[in-house]
Amino acid sequence: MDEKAKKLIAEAKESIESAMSLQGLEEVRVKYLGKKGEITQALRSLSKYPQEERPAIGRYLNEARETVEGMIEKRRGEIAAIELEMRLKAEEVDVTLPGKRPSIGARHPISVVYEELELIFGHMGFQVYEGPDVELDYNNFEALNVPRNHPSRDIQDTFYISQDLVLRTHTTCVDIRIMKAQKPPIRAIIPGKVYRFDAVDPSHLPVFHQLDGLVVDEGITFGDVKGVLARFAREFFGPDTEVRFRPSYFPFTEPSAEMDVSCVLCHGSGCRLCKYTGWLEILGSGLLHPKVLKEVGFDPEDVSGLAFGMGVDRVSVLKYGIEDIRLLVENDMAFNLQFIHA
Amino acid sequence: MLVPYRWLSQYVPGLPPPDAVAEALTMSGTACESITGEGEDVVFDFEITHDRADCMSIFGIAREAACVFGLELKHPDLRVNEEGPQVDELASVKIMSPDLCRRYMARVITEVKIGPSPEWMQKKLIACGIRPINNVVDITNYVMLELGQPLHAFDLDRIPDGAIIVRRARDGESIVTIDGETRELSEDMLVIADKKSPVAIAGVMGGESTEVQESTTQVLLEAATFDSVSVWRTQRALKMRTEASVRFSRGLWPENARLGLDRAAMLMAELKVGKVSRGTVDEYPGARPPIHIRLRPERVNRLLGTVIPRDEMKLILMRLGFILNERDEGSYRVIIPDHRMDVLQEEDLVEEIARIYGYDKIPATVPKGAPPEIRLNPERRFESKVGEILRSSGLTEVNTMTFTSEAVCDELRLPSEDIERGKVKIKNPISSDYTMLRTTLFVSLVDVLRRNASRQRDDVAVYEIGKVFRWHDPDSILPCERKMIGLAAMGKLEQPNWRTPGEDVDFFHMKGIIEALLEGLGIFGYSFEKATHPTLHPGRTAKVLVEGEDIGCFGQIHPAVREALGLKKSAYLGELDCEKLLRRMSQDIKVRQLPRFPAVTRDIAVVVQRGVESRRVEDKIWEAGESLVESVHLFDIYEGPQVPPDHKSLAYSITYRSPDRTLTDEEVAEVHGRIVEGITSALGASIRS
Ligand SMILES: [Zn+2]
Repeated sequence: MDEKAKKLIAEAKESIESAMSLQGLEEVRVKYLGKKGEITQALRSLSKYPQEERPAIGRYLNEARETVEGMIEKRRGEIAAIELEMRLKAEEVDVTLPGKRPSIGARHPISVVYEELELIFGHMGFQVYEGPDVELDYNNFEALNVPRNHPSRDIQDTFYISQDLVLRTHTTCVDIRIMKAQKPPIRAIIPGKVYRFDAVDPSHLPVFHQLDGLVVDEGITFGDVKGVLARFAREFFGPDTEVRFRPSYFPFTEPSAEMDVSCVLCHGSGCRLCKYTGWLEILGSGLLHPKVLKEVGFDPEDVSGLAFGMGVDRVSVLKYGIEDIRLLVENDMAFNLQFIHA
Repeated sequence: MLVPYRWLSQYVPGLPPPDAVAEALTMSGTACESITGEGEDVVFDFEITHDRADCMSIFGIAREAACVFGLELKHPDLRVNEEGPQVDELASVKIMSPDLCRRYMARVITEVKIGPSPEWMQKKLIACGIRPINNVVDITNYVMLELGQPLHAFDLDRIPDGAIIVRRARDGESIVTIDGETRELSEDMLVIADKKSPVAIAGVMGGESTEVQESTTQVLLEAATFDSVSVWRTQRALKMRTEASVRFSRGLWPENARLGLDRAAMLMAELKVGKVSRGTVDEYPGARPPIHIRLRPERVNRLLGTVIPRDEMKLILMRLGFILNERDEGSYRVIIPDHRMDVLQEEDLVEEIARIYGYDKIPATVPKGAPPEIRLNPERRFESKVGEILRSSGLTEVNTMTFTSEAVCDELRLPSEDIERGKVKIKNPISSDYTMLRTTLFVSLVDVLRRNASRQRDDVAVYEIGKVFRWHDPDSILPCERKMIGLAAMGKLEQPNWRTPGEDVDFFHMKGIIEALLEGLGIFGYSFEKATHPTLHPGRTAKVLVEGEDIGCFGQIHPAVREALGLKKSAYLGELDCEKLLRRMSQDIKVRQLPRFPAVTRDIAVVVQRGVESRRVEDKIWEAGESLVESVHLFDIYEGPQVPPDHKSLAYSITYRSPDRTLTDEEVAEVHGRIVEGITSALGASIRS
């Protein structure tokens, strides 16, 4: 009997180990442990044996059944692992193939710069205001101390809609609207399109963008002009940026100053961009002219104000190294899509 | 303005080297734009700000430099060697329009010998960009460069009786100027005339008839103070900017006429051009007392944020030529020198002190006092949100100019009578492409499509948030400006890939982009309706409604327009009104409870006539399904042999769910039956199984 059983187990072991698929393993299981399987049959025919041998044989067969079952289970695990491995192998992809990506559009550099400026000045307590592109001559010029029919109008060549209406030459005209509508303290920035009578060329556009700023309160000083704008320059152009203020002339500020920043390209050593001066002219600024304050009903003895204005197109051109300002309005996708991560 | 270093240093002995001069003048308000040449021969190019008429000369710059460096200023030699007859015997001047001519001075040079000017003078003129002509003309130009006073030399023999009349031109009068052009004059222009007709346009250009020539023997030298506004308007009207008119337009002061005239006369005598007759004709109807301004040193420091001692302020102003008298309460009475016409109030003196003290020495501070309470600008927030959503739909932002032209409006078939009524026209357009402001973003967007197509970039999907302009309300002073969201797409929205060839944009892509935008803005009550637009395909245009309000439209570009634009691929345009969207935008979120009971989904295929809009079927499903319908999803449209001709089959997947119980099969069957009933009876539809 022992011999026979041993042989049975050895046979089963061999068939189990040679089974290469779950299907094949199942066949082996049926052969030995199925309803008509050899071990099952042997257990069923236990009665054929003499009474006294039955317990030993029975025990032995049960052990054999457990052994075979165990071997099958083990083999099942092995085969599952092999099959999984094969499937994974078959599912392998070429990770260097291009991905199927959703298309994402890019922002225009002008609005990228505007957002950054609005954020920087927002942190200093400035609020965003807007105004109309078609503006009263009064708001654009007269209230800003540029009288009608006056030679100082030569500074800004203007598009006219009618005798009294112009395409605003700066967003400073919104300063007048703000100051007429509210009382100090005022801290405002004004983004928007502005217009000058210039033909389109690599450094001029007849329509471009400006950010103007206005602070009106008691005790605003020229030192504040410097402080506010130097902080902007460092936040926008980088912490190592140097600034300098030069006397200048704007009809609506007195004293007036032009702010230069150290050249973004050569950092002051001199290059083509900064015309070998090491400095780039960035914005005009100053204390509000007393005539402007009086015009909007403020007393220059009580309050003072500061104002500044910068060309956003120029700032973008400098920030991104754009060679030709026309790229900002051409909207060639080969240009615009370079700002996908802006 | 060109300023040779060597010439400048003649008035400021001990002037530092050129680089230091350029730097110091730039930092005190006279910006040096460039330096050319080597060593002592360098020439500065200064940009003179518009208010500083007094700096429009070598001597003017010298005055600044002397002050900035604290050096002595050497004045030009004005001692005139007079001989021969009194000037009154040779010439007379009568000012008929004193409002336009504050002062008119003249001298006469007799026994004139016209010839070349000396080499040193020619060199200086050339260095400043002026071509030498002859000794008389060169001296007038030299003095203009040196002192900023334009002078004019007349051939006195060709002025009958030497009688000069300064008057307004008469309408219809004309003059041939020395450049040979005939100029038509008008009443608001000031002329210098003889007894009959104009011999010069005051402050702009002389006339040919009295021009100094080889044969000239007697010269009348004019030095005048004409009204700046008048000269400016005349030079604009005649489109002639001259060295003289530029200086007069900025403004000149009467004292400079005397300096200029004497300096020229002195040079005429010294260079032996002729004999300077005795005396000066001086008509001076516009004499005014000097201006004086109260200066409070304490206010200067208050405005600048500085602690500059009053003595330092006083010293700065005195070096600039201001005269200061002590007044009570520690203030000064400052008398403004004649040449500083730009200084009119205390703030102007503040700038004078600040710029010489040094802007760089003023400490940078932050405004004191709490900033006003900040409110986020809702429009900017809205625009930033719109941009975010559209970019995530694959659209790229563009920036276009707001100009357009009637020709582009025609190309887009925009109705001309409507454009004519609404257009905001530019009175002085810079080119025929930019004659008016756009009435729709379409004009700018097709330009973007066209430009890209011309550069072989046929796959374009863009948006712009920009203004359109229109005269709307006849009583309004300003035109109506509306911000719009413009959309344009052409070619493929997604790059073709090794897995997908990529589809060309169609109506439903555009619609999907708009739907995603609306929902991203929290606007859910929207619908679409068939519409027409002259630029768009009549069968592929829809308007967008939000709770019944028309907020914009979109559609395919009309094939005829597309052809006219030269676009190869079909393209789509859309335009939505920002203000209307902003009003309906909602960022409020109230979280709903997650569904607790299972949903049941049933499909239904509805066969209707081809012309029936799918929305009508959907409306019916929602209506008949009452509150148990959770979603309706159209998953297939079929037209073909399995449905009757001219019909279509719309296959919907309807999801049912109740918030408070698990729906039984019977309940679902009942409501589904109601829906079938509703659709078939209302739309004449049949149900396909
Ligand atoms: Zn540089």
